[in-house]
Amino acid sequence: MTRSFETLRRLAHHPSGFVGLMLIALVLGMAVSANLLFPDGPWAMAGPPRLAPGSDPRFPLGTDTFGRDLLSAIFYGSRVSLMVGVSAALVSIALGILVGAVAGYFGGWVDDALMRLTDAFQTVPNFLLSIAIVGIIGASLSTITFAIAIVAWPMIARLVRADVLRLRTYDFVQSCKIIGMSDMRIIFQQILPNCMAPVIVTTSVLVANAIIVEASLAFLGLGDPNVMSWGTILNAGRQELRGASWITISPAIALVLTVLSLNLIGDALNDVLNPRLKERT
Amino acid sequence: MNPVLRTDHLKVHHDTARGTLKAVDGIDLSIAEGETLGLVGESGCGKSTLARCIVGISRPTDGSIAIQGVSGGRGRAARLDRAQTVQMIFQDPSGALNPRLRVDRIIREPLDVNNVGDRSERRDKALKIAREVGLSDYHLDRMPHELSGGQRQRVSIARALALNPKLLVCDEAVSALDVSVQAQVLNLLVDLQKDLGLSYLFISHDLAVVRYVSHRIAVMYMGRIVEIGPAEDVWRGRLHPYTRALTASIPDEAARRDTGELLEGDVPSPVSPPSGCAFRTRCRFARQQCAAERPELRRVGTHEVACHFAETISD
Repeated sequence: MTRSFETLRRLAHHPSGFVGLMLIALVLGMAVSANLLFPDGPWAMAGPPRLAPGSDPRFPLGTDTFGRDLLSAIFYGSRVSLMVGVSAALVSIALGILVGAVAGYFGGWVDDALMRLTDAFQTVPNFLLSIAIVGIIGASLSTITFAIAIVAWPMIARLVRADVLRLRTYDFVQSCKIIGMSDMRIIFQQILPNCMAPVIVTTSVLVANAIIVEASLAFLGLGDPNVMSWGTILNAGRQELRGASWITISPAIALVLTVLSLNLIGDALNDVLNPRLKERT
Repeated sequence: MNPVLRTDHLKVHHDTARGTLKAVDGIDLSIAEGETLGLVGESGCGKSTLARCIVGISRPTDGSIAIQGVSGGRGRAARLDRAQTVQMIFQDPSGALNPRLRVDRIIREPLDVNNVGDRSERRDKALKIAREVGLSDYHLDRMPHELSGGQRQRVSIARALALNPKLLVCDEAVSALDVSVQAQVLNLLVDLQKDLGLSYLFISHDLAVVRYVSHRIAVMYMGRIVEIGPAEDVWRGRLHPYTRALTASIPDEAARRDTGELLEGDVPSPVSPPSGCAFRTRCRFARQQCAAERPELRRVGTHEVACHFAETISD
């Protein structure tokens, strides 16, 4: 507990970590306050259509083709992005850690089988596979999350496997076998805590990637039709790109800033969790 | 009475791309209760592989290992059974301790895994052992990286002793320590042996250290034992040319008089060992018979030696 608090403190003192944390806090704030600030929801036709930003103080970002408030849509969209991003990342991390740890620890034919499976997933273009999955089983938040997670886990699996391969030869792991510890306990209690640093760093990139994929799916019309996501707004504004470009610009900026903040945090975490750089931050 | 450890024709062969690597090639050993058997040999001679087999983290290709008369099985129950009788101390004291766990947890872990007593009993037991190996309460709250090499090795010893094993396998247990700390740890091991009636398999490339702690010494070359016997007899009445070369390599006055015995060349490839006696390629006494016929261990005086000409070459 003190260790993770210490990590957070050092992260906040890291320049890009600080900027990243501030930005992501802003997005989190938007997600939390969306229904307080906009009780009517993002779908309400609140004003005249295609209202340019700044022309009406009630709609600072203007309205879309149906007269829906874009600021409200951006706020509600942050919820979808964060939720899909975080849950898809968690699912793929859980899957990747499981596959990577088992493959690396047991080696032999188990390793071969699991790594060929990983290869199989990596040879298919990720985004196409996500599109195919959503296209087949239908679009809802959970299927989209699943479709993103199922293509992202191989990266984590390879990362964890490499570290487990290195750690399993350490004497302390051998010592655990000699005292009679079970293999599962050795993997999860002794080895995995020692290889979490690269996984944590990758997580932020994974979340960012999941957010992009979700927005891309929604942009292509494969988003959950019942939720307002940034991709949904992009999709709606596509036809109006010449006349009302602000409809696509504002969700695009929101996307860029969110993904940027996650990447900044990833970079900072890389420095903070690197034991050789401890003195510098 | 059953010996604490007995191995019969123990073999460990690895299949490599270039052929079968015979890391351990037919080893018969026994260690009695309260006895220390020193095992010496160059790196790569199979000492560590033998150690890993005895503690159960490598599986022998052939032959058997009996600990207190019981041959271990493969499953989880066998792993737990074995843990109660044989434990190991490693060479590198920093790699042998999980860097993320506190020292008290590291020492208590064997008790937790084997469900010895309840929580508070385990804590008391860990504290008691820590004191026995010369650690204080202060050290128990530390992380491994906050301790010195000698202290870490004491933590390893405490962890190994937690389950009251009969046999401790010490694989180069003091080789990574400073000379002054080496002496402390060696004395600790000797004291613990007296107090607890432990048996040691003490593996090292350092003959002086092995001579100091061992009752008997076995000399290993390319997966086989070439000479074994009471420590001082092997030391002073060395018979095998390889043992003579090893003792001659110690830089001290007495040994320097045995001139011309220093080893030359490298250990031959264990994938394609020489025919007959494996040592003949580096042996200055080698004759025709050495290439034709592999010498088996045979009794000569107080110890056993695997050399056709053990009697004739002694000076």
